[in-house]
Amino acid sequence: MTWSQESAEILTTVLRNSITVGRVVAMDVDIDAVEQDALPTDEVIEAVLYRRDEGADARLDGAIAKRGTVARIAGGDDGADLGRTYRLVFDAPESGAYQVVIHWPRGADTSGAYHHEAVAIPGTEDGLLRVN
Amino acid sequence: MPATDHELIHFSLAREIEVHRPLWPAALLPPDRVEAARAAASSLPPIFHWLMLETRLTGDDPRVDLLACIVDTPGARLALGDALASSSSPLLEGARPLLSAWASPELHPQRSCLEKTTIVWLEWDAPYSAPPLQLPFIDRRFWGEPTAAPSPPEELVAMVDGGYQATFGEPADRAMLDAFRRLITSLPRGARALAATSLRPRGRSCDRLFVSVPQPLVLPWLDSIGWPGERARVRRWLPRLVAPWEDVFLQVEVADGAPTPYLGLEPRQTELSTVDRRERARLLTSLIDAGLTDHERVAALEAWTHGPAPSGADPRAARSIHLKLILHPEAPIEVKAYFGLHLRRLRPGRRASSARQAKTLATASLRPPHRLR
Repeated sequence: MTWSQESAEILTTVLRNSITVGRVVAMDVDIDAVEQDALPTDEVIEAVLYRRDEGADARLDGAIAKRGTVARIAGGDDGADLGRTYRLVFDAPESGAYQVVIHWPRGADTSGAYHHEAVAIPGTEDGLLRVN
Repeated sequence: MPATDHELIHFSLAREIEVHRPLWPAALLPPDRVEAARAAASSLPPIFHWLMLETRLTGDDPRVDLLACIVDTPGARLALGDALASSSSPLLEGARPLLSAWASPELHPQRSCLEKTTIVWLEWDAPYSAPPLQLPFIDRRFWGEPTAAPSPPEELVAMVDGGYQATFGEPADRAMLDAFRRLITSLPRGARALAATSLRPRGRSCDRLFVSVPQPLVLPWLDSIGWPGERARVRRWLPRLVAPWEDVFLQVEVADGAPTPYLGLEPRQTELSTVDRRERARLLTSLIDAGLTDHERVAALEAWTHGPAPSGADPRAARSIHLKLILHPEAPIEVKAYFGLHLRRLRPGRRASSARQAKTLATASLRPPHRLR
């Protein structure tokens, strides 16, 4: 998969905390070692959008609005830790305010317990991704 | 959960209460009540890893309860054993059997259970004259081995029984253990049983189980265990309390072999990230809108973690807040606030604290856009 200039533009737009409905949303996320350096394997990581509009029924239901694709890409933030970088892509979310969350199973835990991290969009007061 | 980039440092409760005296918010923690907690704690040895002062966001009860824990860090059990040998603190007396057993598990009949107990919390209710509630954790992954496979339900029930016997010197009630077994085996995929405690020190024949359950699975689990409380209130407050992608910390009580209508619900909300702060702000706004608390108390709550941090201190004092929403049968909702404090030091080889580090603790951050160009 190659990433076009359009992807870069979309990412830049995301970082301004506003995108246009019907566009692909892409973002890169660094995942650093947590919980005694237990990093997940690439294939078990999931990316999800949750609706977080104030008053929206979806917020109260806790429904997952959209699942994205996750692909590991080269790079790391500054070489000072053992993090990995992933590209998350969400295909044309509907308009609304979303929380971006990444999930992965907890270590050797076979009970289905998931580690989950909510990703804050930089430059926003509340960390939400907004699609207008 | 503690940051694994840091090691916890044991400390004196009374000293840290005193050091932080200007920061305890008077609107929620009346100074005379804080002083009473400090005075009571002054007889305790400096062996604790986390301190909490408990107060209430709702109602007019000005009580300030005192909580503290010991984590199974290197040397912690040895230090506790030494402290028990030399301390005559009246606050320790009610917990001496459990603490002695945990300090030297190899000498105790409940050795297997005690060796797997990663953390022990104690709670002294004001005016601190009764024995504390004692809360030995049964999940060895909680602040212990987070990547370990989960313990089977029978082992968890045995941990509850072992903790009870180490605390009270007698076997736990079979009906209570059977009820806990039903609760634990009914837990959905992704949920965890964390700890158990008896309310005997409060004069109640009742036991409490602490579990962690994914937010969307809370109501189905309550249905499955025959929880007799009011579901409409859970349905109303659950989405305001905990984000849908997170786990809820629940406290369920058992008496006479069955769950009671009591329910405690706690969000994670560690305030490590923008998202944590946003979710807590939404909860606090909901509490104000519902008339359960007011702006003054919320401002006092938030001041605890937003206040200035001493610069250059080593170990560093980390301030935290936890909230608990309690459903009592036929009574208004009660919300408790726990003002937390612990001391920590960066582990060798880890990066120094910075804004980027805060994001690292939350494990995820967006890369700057120029990296794609």
